[in-house]
Amino acid sequence: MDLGEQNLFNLILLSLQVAVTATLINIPIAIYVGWLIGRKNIKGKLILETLISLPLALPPVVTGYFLLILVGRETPLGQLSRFIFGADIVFTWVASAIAASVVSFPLMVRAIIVAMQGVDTTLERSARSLGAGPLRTFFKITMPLCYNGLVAGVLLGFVRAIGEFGATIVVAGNIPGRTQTIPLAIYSKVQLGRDSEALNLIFISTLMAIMTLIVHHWLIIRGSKKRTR
Amino acid sequence: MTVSIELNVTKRYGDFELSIQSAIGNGITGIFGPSASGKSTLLNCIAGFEDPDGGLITLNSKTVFSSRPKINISPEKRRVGYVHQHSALFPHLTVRENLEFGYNLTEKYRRIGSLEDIVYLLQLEQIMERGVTNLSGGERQRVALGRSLAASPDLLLLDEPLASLDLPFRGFILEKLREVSREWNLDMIYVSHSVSEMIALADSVIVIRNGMKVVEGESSLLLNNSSVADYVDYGSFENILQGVVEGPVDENLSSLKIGDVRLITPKLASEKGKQATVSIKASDIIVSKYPPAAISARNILRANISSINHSENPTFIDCEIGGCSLTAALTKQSVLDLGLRTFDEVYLIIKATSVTPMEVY
Repeated sequence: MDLGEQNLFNLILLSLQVAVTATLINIPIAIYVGWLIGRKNIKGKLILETLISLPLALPPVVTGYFLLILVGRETPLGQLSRFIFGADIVFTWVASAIAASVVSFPLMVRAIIVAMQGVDTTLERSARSLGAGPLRTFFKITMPLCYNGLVAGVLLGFVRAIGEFGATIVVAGNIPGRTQTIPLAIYSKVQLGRDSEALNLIFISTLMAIMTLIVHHWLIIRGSKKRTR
Repeated sequence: MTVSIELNVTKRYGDFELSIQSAIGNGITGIFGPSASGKSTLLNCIAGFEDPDGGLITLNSKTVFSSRPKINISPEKRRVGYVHQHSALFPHLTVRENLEFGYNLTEKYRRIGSLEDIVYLLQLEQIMERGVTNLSGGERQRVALGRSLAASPDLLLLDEPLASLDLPFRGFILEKLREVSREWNLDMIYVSHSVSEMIALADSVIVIRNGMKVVEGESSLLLNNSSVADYVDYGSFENILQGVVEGPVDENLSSLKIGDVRLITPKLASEKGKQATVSIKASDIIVSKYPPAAISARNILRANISSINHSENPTFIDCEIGGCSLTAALTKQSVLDLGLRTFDEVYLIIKATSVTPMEVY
């Protein structure tokens, strides 16, 4: 297995595809759950909070095993997938994306909850009394005021997704060109003693992490500049 | 009195119960009471932010809340403006965007004033493009008031809007509230625990305590009703008076016409013919039975006592002078020594420097 330029490109592309998909799946759900927990007085809040934080506390391998039980070939979801798409979920990039999504979700949602709790309810009430309905108030007032927390949550989730290993290897395997993402490839290279190739990937991995953090800071600074005109 | 708001509200919080029945007329109604008496809860129920446990709320004959049959109009459809003590401006928007928020959500035919009118009224021209995070307290409260007015509400709720402001800004906002109430015909409910503000602004007051209505009537009752006396800080009572500037008297003094009364004040910044508001502490007014001769004070006003509140120390003497009323605070002993009685003619002695202009420069 040689790490040619084409292969390297595909590897990075697949990693990004998995992480971006996972993040995009998570954003609307995390915002909704963040709003439920951070803003509403709902019953069973403690149970919900425990459930969404569970993937953070569990070993990722265990999360992966649960996912395997959930979307495996013979499970209802697995059969449904075969019925609709004519294909299995397990051992595909979709399974990688699901694993990355589940594992990164707690990080994203926790940042968003904190941000939502920080929004002064008086501001939302003011918006309502000025004639804005709940949805307009949410998108024009609550969301912009959560901006920093949202950005932090989304990017934190993204870096976690791109680095996901444990759950992915259980539910999606480590198939080069199909489900092998950068962390899995590094693992394989190290196992095979191809240290220089592993180092290349480690370098790329580090570079991507740094770039994500730079984007994060840039978005935060841009947001705060906009607000202190 | 035309009834603009009908209230019959009950709401429980643990041990606390709010239970208010009242028919509120047009104009400015003050809600007066100590902290934790249920004032803010009442406002929140009217605005629709909290649901009463039971009862009925109608605004201009339109039912906005009723427990039976079940009616609960959402806050954005009640057309009730709300000005908070800490202004609650949207921090991510500029002054202009804050004002436009409600303005753009109001149908054209409902608008009682254009954005330009509001900007002019509250003198916001200079700060329109600024962010709101570094405005001064007075500017913030002007924007908050403007933002509410821009949404053309049918009723404006004000929750201690002046509590965190310095004297000059209080005067400015009080003037504007009166102007808006009069010229725009906008009903207001004004929550405060300042007797001075209540008397200066409100047409009538409802005094509440521990969630119950204690008494209601004209705002002057706050000075002579024993049921409110024990929790009102009378020591700081000030007469807040609005008049028309007549111009400077000399380098340091100006003349202000309030009703038929001419008051000599420290130099006023407002030009001749403009409105200005001043404050005189009740304890700074000296009462004499005879016209004083050769005295340094610049204001000697002949007045008639309209009422004496004997129950309190200090004793408040309400005086009528040419269509304006002034309240002086005297010790019980002074009132006895002078033998003051209702309808007596007295002379009120006020130093020009005891008159504090409430102007924004």
